[in-house]
Amino acid sequence: MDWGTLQGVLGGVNKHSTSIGKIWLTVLFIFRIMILVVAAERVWGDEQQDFVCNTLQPGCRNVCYDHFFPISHIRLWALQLIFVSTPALLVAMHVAYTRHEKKRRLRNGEKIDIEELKNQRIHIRGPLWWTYTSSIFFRLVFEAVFMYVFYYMYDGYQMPRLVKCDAWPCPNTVDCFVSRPTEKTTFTIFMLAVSGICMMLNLAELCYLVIKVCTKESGK
Amino acid sequence: MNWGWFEGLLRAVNVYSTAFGRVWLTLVFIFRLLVYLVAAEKVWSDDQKDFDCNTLQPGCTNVCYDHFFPISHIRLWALQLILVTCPSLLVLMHVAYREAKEERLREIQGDNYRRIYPNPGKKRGGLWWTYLLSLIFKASVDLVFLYIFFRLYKNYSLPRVVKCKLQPCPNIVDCFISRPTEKNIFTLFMVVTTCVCVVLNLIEATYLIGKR
Repeated sequence: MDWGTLQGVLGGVNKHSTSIGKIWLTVLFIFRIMILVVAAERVWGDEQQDFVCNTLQPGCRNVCYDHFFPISHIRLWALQLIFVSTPALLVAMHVAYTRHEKKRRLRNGEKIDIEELKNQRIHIRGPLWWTYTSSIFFRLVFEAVFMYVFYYMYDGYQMPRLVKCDAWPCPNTVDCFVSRPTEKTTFTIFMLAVSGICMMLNLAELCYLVIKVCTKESGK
Repeated sequence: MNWGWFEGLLRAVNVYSTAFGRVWLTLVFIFRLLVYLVAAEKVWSDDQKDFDCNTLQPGCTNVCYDHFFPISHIRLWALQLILVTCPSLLVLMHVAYREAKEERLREIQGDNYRRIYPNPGKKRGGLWWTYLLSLIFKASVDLVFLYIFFRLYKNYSLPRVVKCKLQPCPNIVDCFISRPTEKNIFTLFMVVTTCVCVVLNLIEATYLIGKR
């Protein structure tokens, strides 16, 4: 059970997505999940070990680390990627349900080609359009929420070199030094930029779907 | 979701590449990606742990390391390898788009339709431009990263000792980089292979333009 499992699930949804949806999926896998796994996890790997405080007081370093990093960036990104990918499962479930209905009709005597049924690309119309559109809407909401959580938790998107800690049991105010702050800030901004691109792709896809339906209605 | 998966994705591009493109892909997989994975990552693995500063001042090592290594070589190479191989996916997407168009036409007109793309992978028309643009993009990414390396790490080399005088370090502190010679050798190797890749891309672009 790892990112590969998610890829397996989402790969199936790819067949029924629009072109923009396919681009979104590619950006998600290559520029977010892959970067997270091959690069970002290494940068944050020694996060707590190399969080150094200018004190000999036992427990002070632990408490200060916990105070300034309630949830690590890496874990937040993992959660964000999972939440942002799951609305696609709604679409997968709807498609599976549609196929199941067709099979049921086949069993009740209607003439439908079985092979065609398995490989058929289901068009985004009717109830599926609503499911697909709401999945995109949820993706947008989750992205925005996580961006805000990052901003709120870490006071902006920059990692400071030095944090001043006065939580108990630290004596008075203690200087604590974060490990690799510049590299972390670079990756935070990179992931933020890619999230922004994904949000724009989702917005474009939403507009495309709405316009397609409106033109179809006016065409009738 | 790792380099193996990415490699699988890119193998599919091989079908639509020219001979130069296949040589380029082999070069990237063997002399850049493989060297990165089996050798370079291990050399840089104890990067911060063995960065030793001649001081007892807590925090000084962290601050000095951050100042001299804003982004580690390894991360820059990971980003470079991902960005340099992505343009090939544009070609794949264009071919998939052509095949989807054919499929839609077949659905509308039935099985005896007239094919618009007798060979969707042939580099004619829009696909020729996509391929050329992908080559230019690959070369640009490599050049940009060569420049970034040059700016961050003077002359692409690392010294044995760096002198650090940032807060909270007291006065000037000597800091010793771990395995500088080995790092310089690998940096030089990656720079040379990058240059070879850029030259290959330019030759391939010239070949494509000449063939047209």
